Amino acid sequence: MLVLGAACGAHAQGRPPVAGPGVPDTGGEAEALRQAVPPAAAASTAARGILERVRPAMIQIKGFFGTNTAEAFHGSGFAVARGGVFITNWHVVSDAVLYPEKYRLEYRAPAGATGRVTVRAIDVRHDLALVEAHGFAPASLSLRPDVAIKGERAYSVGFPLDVGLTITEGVSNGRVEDSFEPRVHYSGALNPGMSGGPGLDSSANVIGVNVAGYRASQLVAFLVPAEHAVALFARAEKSPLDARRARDEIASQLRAHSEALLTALGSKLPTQSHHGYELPAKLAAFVECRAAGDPAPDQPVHVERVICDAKSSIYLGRSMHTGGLTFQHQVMRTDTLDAWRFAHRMQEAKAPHGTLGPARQLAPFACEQHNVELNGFTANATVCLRAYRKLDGIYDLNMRVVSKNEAKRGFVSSLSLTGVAADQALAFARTYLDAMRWKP
Amino acid sequence: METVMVVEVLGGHGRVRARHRSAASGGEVQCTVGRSARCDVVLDDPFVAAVHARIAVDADGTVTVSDLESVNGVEIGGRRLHGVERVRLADGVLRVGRTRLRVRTEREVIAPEQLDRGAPSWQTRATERRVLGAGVAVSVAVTVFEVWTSTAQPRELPTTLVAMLLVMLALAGVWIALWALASRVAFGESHWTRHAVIVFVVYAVLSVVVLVAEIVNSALGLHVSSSVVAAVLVGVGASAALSSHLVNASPMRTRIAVTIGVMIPAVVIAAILWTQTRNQNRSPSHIADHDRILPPALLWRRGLPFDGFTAELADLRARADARRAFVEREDPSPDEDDSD
Repeated sequence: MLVLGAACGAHAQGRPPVAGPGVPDTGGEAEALRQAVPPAAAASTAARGILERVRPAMIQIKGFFGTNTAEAFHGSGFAVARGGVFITNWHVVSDAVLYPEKYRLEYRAPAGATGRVTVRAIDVRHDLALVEAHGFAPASLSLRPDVAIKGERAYSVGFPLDVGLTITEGVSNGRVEDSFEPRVHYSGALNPGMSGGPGLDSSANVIGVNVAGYRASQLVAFLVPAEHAVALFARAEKSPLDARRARDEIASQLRAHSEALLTALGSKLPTQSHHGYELPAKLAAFVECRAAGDPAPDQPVHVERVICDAKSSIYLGRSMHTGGLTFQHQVMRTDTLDAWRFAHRMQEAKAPHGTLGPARQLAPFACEQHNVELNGFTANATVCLRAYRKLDGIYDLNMRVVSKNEAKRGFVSSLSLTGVAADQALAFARTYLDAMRWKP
Repeated sequence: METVMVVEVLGGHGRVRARHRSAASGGEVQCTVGRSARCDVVLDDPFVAAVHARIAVDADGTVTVSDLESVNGVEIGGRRLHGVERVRLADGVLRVGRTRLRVRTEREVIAPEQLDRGAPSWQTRATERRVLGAGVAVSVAVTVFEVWTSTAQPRELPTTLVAMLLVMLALAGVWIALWALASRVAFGESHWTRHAVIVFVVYAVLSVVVLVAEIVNSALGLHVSSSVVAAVLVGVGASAALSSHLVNASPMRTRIAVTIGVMIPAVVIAAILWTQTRNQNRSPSHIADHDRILPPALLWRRGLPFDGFTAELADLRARADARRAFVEREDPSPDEDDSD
């Protein structure tokens, strides 16, 4: 789905969209829009001018496995400070940080200069990394920390598909609404290899860092707002990354991410009633919920499915995403079946359980299963926790709750939290259970 | 005094196909063996000469064998002898051509008569049929119940039911036929009813016990590993069935038949359980579910209070850490799988 292999594009966030300075009122916006759209010839000249200004600050970052001279992966980067300091994406350099003995990084500048790259700081949560290109110190690009307004002309530069330095032209659609992690919605092409390149306004100021595009969608792409690059630069100055303790750093960033997520959800969860069962509903603005069911009227069992996703998952490493929160309910009821046959349908509905994951990264689940008295009804609850094998203090929680109080009504609810501290996860599981209620 | 000799022609499984009795008063008794009608013991074996050998028993009861210049000779104690005269036959058994013969004399020691207490009352034909009827009835009832609860659309119930019952009866029929064939080969009797009793009674008892165990497990909220319990019960049932089949269909001694009947299912079930547990202990995706949903009326025990339940979760983190330590020790670098 994701073109750039980056963490989920539509990231979630807890705060309301921040308007950039100087946002005009509605009437003025139309005027501004008209002025912001240049004639076709002028636009291509602008793109050419921007590319000329940005080109000296760009590098292509390449990863190599072992001593191979053929590359394993590549992305883009741009200079943000003197002394050869560049910004790129975490997902571009993650293999080299997680497996430093297996991978090495090199850069290649558009003019042909090449050399070694070392990682100075990482921000897993916002998919950013600060790297140093040895022997290459061009003038840096300037970062614009406010978010470009909707409709403002924007450009993205990078090295897509290894075909050389490329600029694409599009429009900023401002900060993504209802997203836990801040993202700028860029309506323009973003292709594999452009990760880590700059998103720019028409004055060649950096408004964000390319992270992701959707393969199935047209021109829906995302940039990490430049403010996070500024913050990462400040952090690198204060405490640069210790390569030997990179995993501890990643673990602590994951904990911070999940703490922010669970804090944003609060300790009292909103619920919705499903045939007498009050079940957790859309927990926050950034949580996306979808509900569906089988419309056929003659089914012996009527099933409603609600699936909610906080869209907070972040890229951790090869084929591993974490930091996510999803839950779903399957609410069932029957008018025609008796208790035995309905119980069998419930049994079938709860059969697939558990979340897949790579055995190299994740330990097996430890589980507790009990019948428990919730608010007004008995349910069977299974709470499972599994540790990350390579990250201390990081866990996945999986919980399933099956109602056991009614002969012709019932639900199966499951909650999955990934990349979270155990205590926080268990506390949230308690909150989730406590929100359930039987109110016929 | 009369000297007596009985020559027995043995078939497969040591069964006696024919007997020839010779007697002579006060001296040696003799008989000839061969394909010719002139012989005393006439054999139907193409590897036997017209007049092949002579067997003699003297007044002391000593058995001797002479080869009457046959091409294939006689085989005594595993050795083939040609042109021998009056070779002593210690254990009374010899082979002529491809036929085994046993020579018995009046000197042989006869085992005492066994006391016949009569067959146990439950082993009569009528009881066997009644037990079979009950076994079939319960087996069909359990199958009907399973099909009834699991058919998604009630209007499909009759077709599913008929199909399931036919499949069940066909499988049972094939199984019974195989064992009946084995019985026929071994004993000349098929024992159809007995093999059918074994199949249906074991199936009926097993399915009822497994069902009851699952219901009790869930009704009391015990959450004992149901897959292990079911595997053990199936193992016990399979052992009982296989032992009974073997006892009734093979000439081996009861103790050996029972040992084989128990060992095979035990080894198979243990191997399956071991592999399954081993994989589950290493898989990051496996979540065991030990609960079966039952009608709420069967929930005999209340659940834990909410606080009691959350208290149970206190050691979950330590257990997850222990599982991590286990895989790091036992399986430090698993194959990169595609299950992500």
